[in-house]
Amino acid sequence: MTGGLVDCVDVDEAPASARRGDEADLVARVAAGDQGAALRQLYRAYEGRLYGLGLRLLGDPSLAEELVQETFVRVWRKAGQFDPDKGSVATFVFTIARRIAVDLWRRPSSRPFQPEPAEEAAPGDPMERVLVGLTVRHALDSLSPAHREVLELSYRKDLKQSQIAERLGVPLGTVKTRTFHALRAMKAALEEGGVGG
Amino acid sequence: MAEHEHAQPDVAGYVLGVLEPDEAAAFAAHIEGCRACRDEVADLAGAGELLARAAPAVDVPAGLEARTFAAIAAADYGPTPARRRRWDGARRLVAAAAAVVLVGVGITVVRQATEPEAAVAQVIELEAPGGGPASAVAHVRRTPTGGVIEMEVEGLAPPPPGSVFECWLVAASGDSIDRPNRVSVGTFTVDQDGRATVRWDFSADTTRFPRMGVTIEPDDGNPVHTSQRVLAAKTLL
Ligand SMILES: [Zn+2]
Repeated sequence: MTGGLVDCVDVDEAPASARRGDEADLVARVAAGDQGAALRQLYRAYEGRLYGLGLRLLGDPSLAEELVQETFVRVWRKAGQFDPDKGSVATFVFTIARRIAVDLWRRPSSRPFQPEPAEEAAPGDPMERVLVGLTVRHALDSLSPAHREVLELSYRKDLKQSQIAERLGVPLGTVKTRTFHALRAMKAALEEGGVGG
Repeated sequence: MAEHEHAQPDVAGYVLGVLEPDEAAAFAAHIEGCRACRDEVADLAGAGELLARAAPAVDVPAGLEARTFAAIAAADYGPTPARRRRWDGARRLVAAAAAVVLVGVGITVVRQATEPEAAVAQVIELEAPGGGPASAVAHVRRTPTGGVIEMEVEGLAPPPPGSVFECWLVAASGDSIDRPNRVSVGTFTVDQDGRATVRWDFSADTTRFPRMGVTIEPDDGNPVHTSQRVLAAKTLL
């Protein structure tokens, strides 16, 4: 049966708490002097979200790039201050990014058209809204291609499951079970990223 | 309809609104009497709603990772003494790796074996922030009291009458019009071809002021930043 293997081997459903622990472990290794593999793995997990955040908040590719670079210079410097009991690695990284985004926004030569980011996190402030969208995108990107594909076809709302089955060339029953596993994996990935599911 | 021991796959289609209308109506009736499916709908509803808020996929510029690790390697030059000791062992390896990575993005770290600290020359490329032909290459050498910057500029249109170019080292954070957090390195102008070669000593701590840039400033002797950037370093000092 087409797609059956993907649905049986559901690697995306590793417990979110375990993966959160992995990120905290990476930060601990960076703090202990691992400037190579651990820092690079951490960087790759956040590069897309930080760059997207910079583009949306600052409206300028070169400022977005600066945001990524300066955030990671500071993540590297401050890794020793990270306390897993006080919050997730995502919160640690994005708290640093928020301060840098404010500084970049205020730099006289920046002159962004976007509104000034708030210095403190608050529910519903522009940066929080942007972060939710980026976190959802990041969670989607972390799924297996088959899971991501079926969810992307589903949330557009213009196709029903029978049409999705036709589009993918798999039986309707496969689409149903695949969508179910994909949405469960998505929920786990969203929790890992710090947004409720 | 009977209760299920485990939630059925249609839960996902129902939450996402992709069941056929008759299937959706039947499933809505089913969850009235089936606790397993009803609980699963409640459990997955939030993820279903969040999906619709997914940001578009972002294309990260090529080489950003290499440039970021170059900035980190560059920032590794002047940490606090404790940190410096801690990193010393790893740094020799990193420097070798960095030299390979950095060539591709325009920074070369030249490390001479005889004078491990003072002989390090960091090459910083500067470009026009808004695009354009202006560019510069600066060689930065640290000394015990600060450092020396040698910079070659080209393609920079001469400044308007009564103004000069000013080179700055800017704080990593907290630099604004109201509360500038930058130090002036020196002023210069360019020849008719838009070229200049300059050399300055500086005493600023480049770990506090790691960003380098050039602005146009009124030539009134007032060392306060007022104007537009014309060159900005691609990487941190
Ligand atoms: Zn049921």
